[in-house]
Amino acid sequence: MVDVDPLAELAEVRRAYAARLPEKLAELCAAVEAARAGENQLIEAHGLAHRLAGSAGAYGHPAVSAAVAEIEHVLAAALADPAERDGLIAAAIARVGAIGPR
Amino acid sequence: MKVLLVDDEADIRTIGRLSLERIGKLETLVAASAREAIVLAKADRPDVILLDVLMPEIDGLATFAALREDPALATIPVVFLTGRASEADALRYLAIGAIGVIAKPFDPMELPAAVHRMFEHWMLRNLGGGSE
Repeated sequence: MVDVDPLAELAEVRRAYAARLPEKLAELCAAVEAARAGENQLIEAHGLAHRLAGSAGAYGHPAVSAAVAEIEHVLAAALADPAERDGLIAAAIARVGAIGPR
Repeated sequence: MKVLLVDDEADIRTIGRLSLERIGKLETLVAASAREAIVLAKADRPDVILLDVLMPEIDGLATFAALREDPALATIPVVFLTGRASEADALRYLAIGAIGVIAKPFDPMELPAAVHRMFEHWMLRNLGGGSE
């Protein structure tokens, strides 16, 4: 059995992730828009942003990771402050629209 | 050294395993949840647990507490993996007994060395010896 070079394996998983990234961003975009419907949807969008911020950086997309981390931060603020929630979700929608397909 | 990586995100488990096992040459177990982690830790005692903080249902802090309450698992050193690595949070995690904190996103080329360094430091401080 041929032992695959770990760096080649890393490059391969990064390529596969990059191919799925537009879909992941579209998913985040839909989740953030859905967050206007209620707290459960907002929690879901926040979790999705958290996971994507963590994975995008590890897979070699630091700019996407940083942009999504900002969205995660805005969604966390929306969860913490119901009075400001609508405005914060609108801000998150604008930010996610700037990095992902709509 | 045997590492148990606990993270609910499949992409993180994939690259984390690749990093620890293939790049770092560390024996690696992975779990997607607190429950799975506790079962794996009991069955195949790891030397160190790399534990995500923000997980659904049972989060990393609650998992840590459950590990500490179980006499069979209480002494396994834990490193928290967190996307919210503010200094205050990191200090809080260290204060409750974690041996280190690694921020997400992590660099897969650097992760094994970071885990190894934290484990070695813990061994020297607590046991007065080497790791292997």
